Amino acid sequence: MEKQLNSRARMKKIICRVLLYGILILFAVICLYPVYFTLVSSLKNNTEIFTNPFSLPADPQFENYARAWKIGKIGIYFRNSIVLTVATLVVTAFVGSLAGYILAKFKFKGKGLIYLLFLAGMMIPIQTVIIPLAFTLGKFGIVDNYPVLILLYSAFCLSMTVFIVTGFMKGLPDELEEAAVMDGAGHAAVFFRIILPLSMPAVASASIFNFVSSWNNLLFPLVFLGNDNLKTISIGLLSFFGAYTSDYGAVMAAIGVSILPPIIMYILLQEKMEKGLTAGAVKG
Amino acid sequence: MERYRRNKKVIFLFLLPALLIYVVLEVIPVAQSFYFSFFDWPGIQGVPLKYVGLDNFISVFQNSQFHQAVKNILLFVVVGLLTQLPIGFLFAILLYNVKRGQRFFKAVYFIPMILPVTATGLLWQFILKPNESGVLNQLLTKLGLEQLCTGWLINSSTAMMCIILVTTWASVAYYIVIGLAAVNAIPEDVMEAATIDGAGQGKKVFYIIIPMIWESVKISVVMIITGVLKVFDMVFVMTEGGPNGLTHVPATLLYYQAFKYDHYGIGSAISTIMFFMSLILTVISLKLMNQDKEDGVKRMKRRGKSQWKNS
Amino acid sequence: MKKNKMRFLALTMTVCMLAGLAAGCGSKNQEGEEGSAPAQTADGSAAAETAKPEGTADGAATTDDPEVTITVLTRYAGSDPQAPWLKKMMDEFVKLHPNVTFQDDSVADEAAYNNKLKTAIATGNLPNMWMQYGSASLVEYAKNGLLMDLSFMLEDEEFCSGLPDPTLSTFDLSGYGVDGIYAIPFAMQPEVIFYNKDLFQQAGIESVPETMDDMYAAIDKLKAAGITPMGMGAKDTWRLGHFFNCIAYREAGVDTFKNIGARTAKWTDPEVVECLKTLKGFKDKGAFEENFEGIDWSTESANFLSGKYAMICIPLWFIPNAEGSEIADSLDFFPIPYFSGQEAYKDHSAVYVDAHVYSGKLEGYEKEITMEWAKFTHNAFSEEVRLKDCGQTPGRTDVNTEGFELTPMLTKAIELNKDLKKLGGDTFEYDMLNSMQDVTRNALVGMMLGTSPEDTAAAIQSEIDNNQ
Repeated sequence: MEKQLNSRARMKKIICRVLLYGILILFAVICLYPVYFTLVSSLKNNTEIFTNPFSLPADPQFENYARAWKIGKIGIYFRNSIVLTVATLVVTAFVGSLAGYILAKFKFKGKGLIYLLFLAGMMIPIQTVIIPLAFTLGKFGIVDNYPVLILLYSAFCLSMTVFIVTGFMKGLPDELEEAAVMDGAGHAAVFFRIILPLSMPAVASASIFNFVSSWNNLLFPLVFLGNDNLKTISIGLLSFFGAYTSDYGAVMAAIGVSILPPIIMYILLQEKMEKGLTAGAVKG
Repeated sequence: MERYRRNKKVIFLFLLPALLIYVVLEVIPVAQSFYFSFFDWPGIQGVPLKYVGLDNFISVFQNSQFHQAVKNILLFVVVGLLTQLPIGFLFAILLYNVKRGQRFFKAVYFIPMILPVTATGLLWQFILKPNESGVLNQLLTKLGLEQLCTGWLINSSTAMMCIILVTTWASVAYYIVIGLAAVNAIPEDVMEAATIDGAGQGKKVFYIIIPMIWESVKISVVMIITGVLKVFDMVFVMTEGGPNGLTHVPATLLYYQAFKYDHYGIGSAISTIMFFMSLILTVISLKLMNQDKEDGVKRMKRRGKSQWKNS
Repeated sequence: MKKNKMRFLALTMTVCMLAGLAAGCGSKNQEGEEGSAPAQTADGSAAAETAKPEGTADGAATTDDPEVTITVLTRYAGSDPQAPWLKKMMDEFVKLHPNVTFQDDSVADEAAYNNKLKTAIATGNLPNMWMQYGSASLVEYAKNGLLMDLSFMLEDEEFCSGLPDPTLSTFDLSGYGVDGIYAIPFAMQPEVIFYNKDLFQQAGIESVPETMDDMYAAIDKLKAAGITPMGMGAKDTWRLGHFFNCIAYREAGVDTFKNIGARTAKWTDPEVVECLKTLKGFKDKGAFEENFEGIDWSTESANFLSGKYAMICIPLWFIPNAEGSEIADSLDFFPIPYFSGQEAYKDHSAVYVDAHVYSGKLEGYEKEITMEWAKFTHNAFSEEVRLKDCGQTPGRTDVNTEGFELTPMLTKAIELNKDLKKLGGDTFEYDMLNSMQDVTRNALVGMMLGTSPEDTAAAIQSEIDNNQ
């Protein structure tokens, strides 16, 4: 009798496992398919992409990659995208968590208002502000300027970052700070040695979103960068689209080339998140 | 400790960088664009602004394309909430139970998010093409379901839905990330206690996981609403708002009015309206969810009491 | 275990970044070489055989001339057929004037171009040269002093006589109350019907259609033979717009649409509604494939070039595409058929012209040198480059075609260009409302999807009426 029950329970467990993995793998295929499509298309010429989109390339066109590199200047744009994005992540994480700490744990008049002010930013579509921004920046003759562009990217990432980080920090027990203050630690020490390390999961989460939006940001480099050597990948992809004809093979090659670092960056950030999480759980 | 938490110098110093960047580079331009909504301006520097009061808003509200855009975006929000949230958190919970290969799956699910919209837009265009050149139609034919074949992006009953579902596919990873973080934050001992008490998978999910990740659910709802309301890229790449305005959303309308037709006043009015829509919807949903949470906690307490009684 | 994985990932990431940086630096060096390499032509022959540009009246620059940057904002970028032309012209100009640096802001994608241009106009940071679309903006900008008056160019007889439009009146704005010449026409592209000779033969069509009745007969024969008569990727709304232009000018004449722009005629006038009906008639006859409203231009083009469609309606810039395809030998083109009941409009053609404009705020030396650049990009040498480097039909009558083998299609195209009598651009080009481009094109697609021609006309007209 017991044996029957055990094997039934085991069957159930196995079926559950199979189902579980089945769903996960199905979704993984749906997500991986675009990469397959991109790589396969990157080896075709334009006509073939449109007449046989899903078959393997009949005559692999490796020149697409050469064109993407040379004419599309993918190497340069790639480097620029990385520089801008990483710098934005660092600035936003630092500045955002400083502000988040204050908004989460400190008391002063107008705190609620300032928090709402940051939140409201999430509801603003980027197109609205391009013209006024061009005015502000144009007046000071600041275009083609990476430091300013990084600040610009950061400004638009701050809403989400402050939202996520403040929420998380609110959840950190007050006792942590109190203990440290009693031991004589100043504000900076408490922030850098206790709060910030513990908030890594939130910072990492926010950074993932900031990464995606900065990496794919098209409007800002388009409008604020004139010098070709300063442009980013999102602009680089545009150069393959002609007014009436487009070089889809080269676009796909360019996308294929530029997809690896974001995935690696994501994996690294994910690690950070988990590390922080497990540390917090054990201590808590 | 009170002095610690009220130290004006620290508050000022820590807040300053973020506030400065944010106000100068986002708040002021946004305020300027609100200002623009009350004027008529052809977008040429030097040409003065002409005050028109509420005319821009009236003209926007009377525009039939705007009505279609609002219908579309509301559909977008509802379907987005019904798909992105449950699917994201479902996968988060599924992944929580998988130790082997978790990292692989997480990386793979992230791909649609990081792929440029150009690539995914192109891909889905190929899939959704009309007649036998579209993969979806080919698939349906093979399955014997030919009568379902149609021009997906031009058929008024399917066009907007297709765009919405593709956007879900591309954004679900956000919510898997948030969901996983939240589920991982549930202390081990709570889960262990439940297992000891004989709670199966299903009960664990409903009585423990969901209530404890409710904060994250709230955050996700806010993010979905605000994110969806300003969607532009995917719609623009897939249909440009066509055919004939069928799939317009406020952001694409804004783009056309301001950057193509030189009606900056109207474009600014649309974005002001979008902002308030976002605000209102967010406040409403937060209120609803707080209610729910209180009810849910009450329910849990009641259930919990009876469960203990039985053991 | 975890630590090792972390290290591995960190290493990979660092390697990628370094590779990216190295590539970035490497490409920077490559750039210098790229700039001086000659552009490749469609048949691979380097441009070495093109003539040297004649020295300008001012002669080569001396080292005393001030340094100046000319900003150029066009759509000749990326894979646009005229991108090599722009690059070459900039390089040659710098050789003549080493004190000039070019900043090329050109981008091919329409949305990107609009963003850049509109922002530039809004902030007053005008490029030295850019491209304008439609009379509405031209008039508005001219009135506000944003555009340079180019009337002085008429004094240069040698320059003007070779132009396809010697009086520079293509963009005459006097009908809108603006005197002066503010735009130079560039790259005249008449619209024709490209067709597949083999498919025509298969369907038993013996001669190329000359009248619309011939056209309808051809369509019937093609359908009977199981061949899709005409490709039409109406998802890209300009396709339908272009075809409508061709039909409308032959059926109602160019002036009808100029009058609509001047508000002395309406879309709801019977002759205009007739044109809409004719367009709808093509769908009803089965000229296009099913659900063509969802097919985009790239697919349409690829299908035509792989032998799926018998005809497409497209301007002459398509010639290099046709000649570069696998079925090049089967392809040819014929002019848009005329309506036998409308002989008066037999020669009214849809011809697309780019409008090159220059900043009205330029002064002093910068103004001088920019005007020289303006002439440089429209002279005989410039058209020679367009022909030899881009395979485009030259626009001038005094172009040196020596040393270049003119293909039959190009020869035919040059002849066609000489023959153009009455030209019209897009029907909405003459309208003062910027939104007419989208409203018109979208309405046409809507008509194909079921709206009646009368309602379509009314919808378009209401946009005009609501914005008086």
